[in-house]
Amino acid sequence: MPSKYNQRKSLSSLGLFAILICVNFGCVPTPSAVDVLTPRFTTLHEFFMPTSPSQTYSWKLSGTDTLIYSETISMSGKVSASGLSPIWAMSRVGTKLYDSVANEVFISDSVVQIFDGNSASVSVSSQRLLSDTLRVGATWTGSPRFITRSGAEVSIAAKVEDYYSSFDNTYSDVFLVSYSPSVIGSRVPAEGEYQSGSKINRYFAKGVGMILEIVKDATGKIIFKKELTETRIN
Amino acid sequence: MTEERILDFLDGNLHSSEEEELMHRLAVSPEQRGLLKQHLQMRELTSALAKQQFVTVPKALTASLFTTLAASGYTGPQMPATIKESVVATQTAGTGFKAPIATQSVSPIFQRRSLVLSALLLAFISGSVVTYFTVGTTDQYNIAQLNSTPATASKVQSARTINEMITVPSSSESIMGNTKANISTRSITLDKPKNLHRIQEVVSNENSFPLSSSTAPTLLSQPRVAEIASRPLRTLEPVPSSDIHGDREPIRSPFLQPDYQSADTRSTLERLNFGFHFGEGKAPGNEQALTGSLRELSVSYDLSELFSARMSIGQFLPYETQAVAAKQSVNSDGLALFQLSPVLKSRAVIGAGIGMKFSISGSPLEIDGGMIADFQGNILPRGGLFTSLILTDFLTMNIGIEALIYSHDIRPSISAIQTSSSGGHSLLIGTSKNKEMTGYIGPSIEFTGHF
Repeated sequence: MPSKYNQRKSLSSLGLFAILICVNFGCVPTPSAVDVLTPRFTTLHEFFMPTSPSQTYSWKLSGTDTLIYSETISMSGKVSASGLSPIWAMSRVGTKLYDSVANEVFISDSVVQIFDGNSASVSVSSQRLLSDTLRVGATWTGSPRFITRSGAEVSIAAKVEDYYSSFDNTYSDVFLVSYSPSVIGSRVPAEGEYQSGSKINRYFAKGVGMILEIVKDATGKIIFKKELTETRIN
Repeated sequence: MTEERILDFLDGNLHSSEEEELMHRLAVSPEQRGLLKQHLQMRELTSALAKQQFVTVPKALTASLFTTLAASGYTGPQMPATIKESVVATQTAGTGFKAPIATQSVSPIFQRRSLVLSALLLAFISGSVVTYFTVGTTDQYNIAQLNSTPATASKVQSARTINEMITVPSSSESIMGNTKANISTRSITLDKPKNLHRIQEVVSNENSFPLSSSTAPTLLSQPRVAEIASRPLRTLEPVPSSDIHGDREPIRSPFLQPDYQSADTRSTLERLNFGFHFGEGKAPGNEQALTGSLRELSVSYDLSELFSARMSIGQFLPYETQAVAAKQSVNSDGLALFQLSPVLKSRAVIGAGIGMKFSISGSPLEIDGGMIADFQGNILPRGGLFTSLILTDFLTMNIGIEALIYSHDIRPSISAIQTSSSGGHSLLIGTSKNKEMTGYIGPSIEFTGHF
């Protein structure tokens, strides 16, 4: 049997060890430990299609109605009526003719603005897809007065709803931006996505651009969905 | 009777009529006036003493005084139990009169419970640390124990040297002339336990202690010095343990090993150790404070006095970051949400390693290094630094710091949760990463049994 001296010292050391264990138990992580502040980005051009003057980019999207869209962007060399430059020409070609449209886009670090037609025209409508700093909670006016193809006038409010660090483990740094149109004229738009109460949710991924678009009506029902399926650089 | 009246008068306890009567007596009695003068002088003296130096009266002395007073029939107030220290004024010279003039009770230090607990905790930790580095020194081993357990010295890395001053006889021998006194010391060096190998008796140590005949007139005479110097070296007989400790068990450090037999002389069975190991800790540099723990049964074999081999089997429980469903399972578009969160895993492991023993300040230490395998293709390195404490002759407690660090891939769990999202999209909230460093560094304890 050990002497009392030994027992006392041994128990003291054992007690010290117990304290160390208790201290360590305080290190057990909690779910809140993984919560982090969402980041913010000021280089907005990274969240639209990659742009290079010498290359053409082709983005293929598939919709819920099995329509296939091919979006191509290339340098146009134009200057918009409001003086924005450079302007890129973006064409969308679908399996149905009426889905083929031509847009022009101004892309910079602070603004990504898409024109519904010729940007050099003063009367052309445009939407500001991204503006200022991209962060959760950021809001801006997408368009104070946007004329739909059916001739209706709507205003569009934009808001960054959420941030995801990964989308399908394929895309990183994804922002969900929600666009909410409001009819400001007497004519009710024929397009469901521009009727009051509807919502257009677009997911923008860093280095890629828009990867998913979900349009819902005022009741929350999905009208259509388009998602990026293929990217190609020509 | 008159002296009592005088004291009452000095204390201001007499009525006016009594004072008149006392003054009348003093006026007609030179003897009583002298008595009054004495008391006045005594009061002046005590008042002066109160302004002089203060000395600390030991608590034991105060207690002894009260004990003596109680034995003499004193029934007054008892010694306060909470008094830690009393300060009284005393006169150190002169009449030898000592009287308590002013007593200042120092308030107990530990009055608040929180303060007491904090102090106890702090003292406990600091005491344990101090104990660790001080108790295990070789100084607590004495000749008797070395002799009674001869193999002890082989465990002690350095030879022990005991210096003891020769008791100089207080005879009337005087140092001749103004020569310097020679203070002799005996230095006993023990290299091996059984034969107290080299014993030196250093008698003459010139210039070691300069004394003049005027300052040290009664130490050693020159013939006495010459006699001691001429002594041949002799071997000291070991002192039996009982002569020093009586029937008490000799004190020994809990850090020293109970079995001091050389490993070379031990049988195979005696070299085997069986233990239960438990360790846990925190992964360094991990902001998510991931932790892990390891518990295992082990068997080790002392290959030599320095090295030992070890095998183990047990359970490893690390916190590993994995993709799990978020509290809010879907977002506003119905897409599945998941997040990375630490998940406690449980893995059966087997391990193997090598230990190397060494000693610092007499405390045995052991560095362990090895690996464990988790039957899933992962081999995890581990290492630790331990010291040993004796619990019984057959049971030892090893405590120390252990580290088990590795990196693991998070992507498989992310892919798995995407597969489980039934073909829909999945979104990761929070920070994304593909790998993480996890494991733990922390305290570890092991109870080892041996034959």
